[in-house]
Amino acid sequence: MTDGYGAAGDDAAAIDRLRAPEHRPDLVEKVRGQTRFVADRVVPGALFGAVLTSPLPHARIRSVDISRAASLPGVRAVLTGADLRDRRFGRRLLDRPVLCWDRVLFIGDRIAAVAANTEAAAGAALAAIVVDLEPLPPVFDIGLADAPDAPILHDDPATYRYLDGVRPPVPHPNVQGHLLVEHDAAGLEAAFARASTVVSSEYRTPRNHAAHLEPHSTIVVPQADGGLLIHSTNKAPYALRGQVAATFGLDAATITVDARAIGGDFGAKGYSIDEFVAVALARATGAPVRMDTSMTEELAATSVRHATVIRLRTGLDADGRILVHEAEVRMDGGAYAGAKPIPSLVPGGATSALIAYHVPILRIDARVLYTNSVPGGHVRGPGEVQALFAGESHVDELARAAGLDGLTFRERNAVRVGQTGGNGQGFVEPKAVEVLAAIRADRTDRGDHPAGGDRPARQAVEGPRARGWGMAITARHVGLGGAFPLAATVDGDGIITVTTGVIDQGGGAHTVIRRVLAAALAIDEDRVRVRVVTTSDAGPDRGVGASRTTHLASRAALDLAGRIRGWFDERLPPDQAFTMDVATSSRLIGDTPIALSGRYDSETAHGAHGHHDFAACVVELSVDTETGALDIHDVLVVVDVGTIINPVSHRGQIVGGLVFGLGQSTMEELVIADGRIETRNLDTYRLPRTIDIPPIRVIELPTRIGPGAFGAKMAGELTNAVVGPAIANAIADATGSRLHELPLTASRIRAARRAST
Amino acid sequence: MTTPRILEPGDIRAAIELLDVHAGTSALLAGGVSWMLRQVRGEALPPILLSLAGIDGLADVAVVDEDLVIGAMTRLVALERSALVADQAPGLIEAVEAVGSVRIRSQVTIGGNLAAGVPRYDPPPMLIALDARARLASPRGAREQALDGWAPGLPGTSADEILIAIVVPPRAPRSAARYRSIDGLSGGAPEHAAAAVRIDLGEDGTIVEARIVSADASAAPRRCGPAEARLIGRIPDAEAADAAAALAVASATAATDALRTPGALGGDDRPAADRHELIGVATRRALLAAFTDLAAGPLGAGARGA
Repeated sequence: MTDGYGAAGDDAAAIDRLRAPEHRPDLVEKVRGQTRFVADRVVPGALFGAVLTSPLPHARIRSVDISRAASLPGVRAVLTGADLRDRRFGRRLLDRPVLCWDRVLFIGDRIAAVAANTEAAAGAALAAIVVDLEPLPPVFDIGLADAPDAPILHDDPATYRYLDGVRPPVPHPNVQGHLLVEHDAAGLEAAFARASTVVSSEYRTPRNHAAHLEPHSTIVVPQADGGLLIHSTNKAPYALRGQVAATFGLDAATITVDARAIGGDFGAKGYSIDEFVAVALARATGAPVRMDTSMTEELAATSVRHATVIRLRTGLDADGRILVHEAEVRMDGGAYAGAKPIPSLVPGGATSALIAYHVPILRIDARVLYTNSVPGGHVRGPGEVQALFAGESHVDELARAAGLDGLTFRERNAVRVGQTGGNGQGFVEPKAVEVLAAIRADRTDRGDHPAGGDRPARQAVEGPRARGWGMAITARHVGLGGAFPLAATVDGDGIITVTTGVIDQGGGAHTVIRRVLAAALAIDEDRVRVRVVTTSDAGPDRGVGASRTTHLASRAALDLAGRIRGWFDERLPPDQAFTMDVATSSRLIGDTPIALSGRYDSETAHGAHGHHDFAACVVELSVDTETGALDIHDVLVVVDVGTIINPVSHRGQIVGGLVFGLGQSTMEELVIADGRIETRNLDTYRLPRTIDIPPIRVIELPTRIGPGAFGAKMAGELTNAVVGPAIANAIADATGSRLHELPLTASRIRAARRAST
Repeated sequence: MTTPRILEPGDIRAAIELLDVHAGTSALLAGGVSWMLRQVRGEALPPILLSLAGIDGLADVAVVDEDLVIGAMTRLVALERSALVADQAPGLIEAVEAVGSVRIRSQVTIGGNLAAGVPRYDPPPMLIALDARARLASPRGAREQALDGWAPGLPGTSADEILIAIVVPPRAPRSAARYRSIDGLSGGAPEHAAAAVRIDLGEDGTIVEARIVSADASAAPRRCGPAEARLIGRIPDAEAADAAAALAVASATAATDALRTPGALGGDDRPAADRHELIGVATRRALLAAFTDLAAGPLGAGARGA
């Protein structure tokens, strides 16, 4: 017997248990303000670390005079690049100096560091450092960065250390990473030649910041045995441990990272910067050193979503079917590639412009370029947000050229089972057709009754209004990520205590572990406790992120549940079926809890590869054609998400992702002028407010096909990329003017209308 | 960074004395958000801040000798809910409601908004349109100063003066006041264009007095004299609104952006012509709303009289 969606027997019962809303184990402490984040922690005797940064985007360091700074009262250490020469750090490629010794490559690059007894003393010491910089010609234009005569920003990148493998070759020294995706590309130009319609377009996207409300913080504490304890906001603590060890030539086993509470992530908490300076200062002074990043430093000098220029060219046959597609993606990687953990050093989503479509002939050339700007890193849906804005805007232009509406064009071209998608890959059970069918049904139901007519306006709705709707579709992989270990004890009362080094940055990893164990063993969730520990007290994992956590954590929990059940099954009488009540009443466990462990390795697990979530979004809006102001009346998103483990958090991810994407597509932009970030706090880097959030409807497709426990997929990086192009397409539908650049601000809408009239 | 000491005098006299005793080292804790932002930006704060929160009567709203008197410590949310303000100055409610969110309006005081504001704040243009006055107290006694010419920091006041109330004169029998703001973003910077208008009709149905105050993010709000003059003697109709709006654009174009601070709080790097075009839109919409109120008679949202 199945539950109607394919799950059978125990699985169906477990899935039924998962329908109840979850109780997050971390919630009470957080709501009460009792969670101690890194910035809340007090380490007696900790010194204050601070850094002097470059005011120039590209310059040679002639000299650094620290003599006066070092003699000031309360100053315990002053370091320069000369003290840390050749010490570079990064998540994959170690290309960023802890402190620069010869050249600075962006405004915010670090030249000197101070440890002092007080914050004020550290600030005074920084002010007393004299730096002589010789300006060099900067490289800001990614269109010119890999030109033959472009200034080379890294003299000898071949010497940079690359973690866990060999760095793929790049075509130019100013290229951080290069991806070439081809499918039957030998016939590319011939296909364009025979196409009935060819559309070419160029799109631009800006830098965004993840805008996590907890800035990065760290405290590095030297240990009596010569080791280091690093309190950190890094969501991948084992990876950070390895990076610190690689930078300073230390044995990773002597380093403990404690990242047990993180206040927001949105993709950016896998990259640490201050930890490396703080380690150097702690080693120099023998004392603990703390560094707390300000929001201005966060926005101006940490890592950001890559700005892009994306050129797309697509050929259609006479029926409006995609014959051939070519994409040139250029991403501004800034001064260093070290913020990216992926082997190619190209954000994976960069090839996603037409991911949800069948594309028979394909070439995608994606490059990340070094420039004299703030480094590009990972922000929720890295690469996808940019590529999908371009791709789904382009699709609407293709539909118009083919004489089709956007929905019909998408239905005609959606990728199906066995077909190659627009990223050159196949899919396990692609659901593009199904999400579009749900959109079609909703559009049919709505008929001539557009949404939002009675939405209260903040001020009177006046002026000429143009109404329109637009849509977009996306697919995003369910992530992989090596081994995921869980250790547990079970006591005589049947209380399971799981020990893990995996942190929960708000995504719900610990709740996933708890609920899957409880559901699989048919016990109350309160009988499962999750204890999060430092890197020294649990086995390593790759950290949360990359849309893999629910997949990995749920399968590891399922494995652990099986081992717990197996332990009891081996000891219970053959005629006694396992339940936890039976198990505890049989007194098989004495005063000492039993210890068991679970493990899941997604790289080697059968059937774990090739899974994607599909989602489609429709936006109905009106535009004040005098002011360009948007009024979004309705957002519908249809999501193919597999079995839902944490219903409340899941809905939060879907809706929260939409709001995140709405902000990044309509208002958020790190404005940069001559290499300097101008939007240096949250008053100018505007985030969506409550009043900016439109009505949102969610339709979940009932599938159980994910690689996670009971068919779970992922939810965190799905909807934020699809809402932006849907808004852009709705604006084009309403006004007849297409915006080819994010964010979709009122002033850009006005300018586009002026240009078209 | 040193954290300022907060002093809380119990009455205005004590506050004036403390300002005198700590002259040069103290400031009024008015506009707490502004102080917070200065602190965030690393700017030095005065060693002593005087809070007026403990002084009775500073948060009262009352009609005194036909004037509407609004205590400087009145929170914006209280203004929104005040029956007296709804009756005497409904246009002010419209401007106040444009400020931030309920959460913010529950903390912000009208005095702080005026004393420590930035050009793009919403209430000042409407208060200017209503011919409101600032009531100030100092060792020399009390005085009033017109808010026309307002800019952040209340120019024309001295360091020992405390803003204790805003005085709004009584409305004409057939009068309407309306506020329109257009908010958005441009190049990452908040863009803002706003217009506050007040229109008084004579017995013959023509306009006898007009106030048109425009504002944008780059300069203090300013009255548009030519636009006001163009309306006098005219019937309130769309043609009059268009003409006045065009003159408001011209006034904005001519005005010096004295407070233009690109990239800073309140900065706006949009091309001036674009900003001024939005001022024209806001002016025309505010005027049309006021005209509609006047045509609707006593039930109009921002109007009074028949």
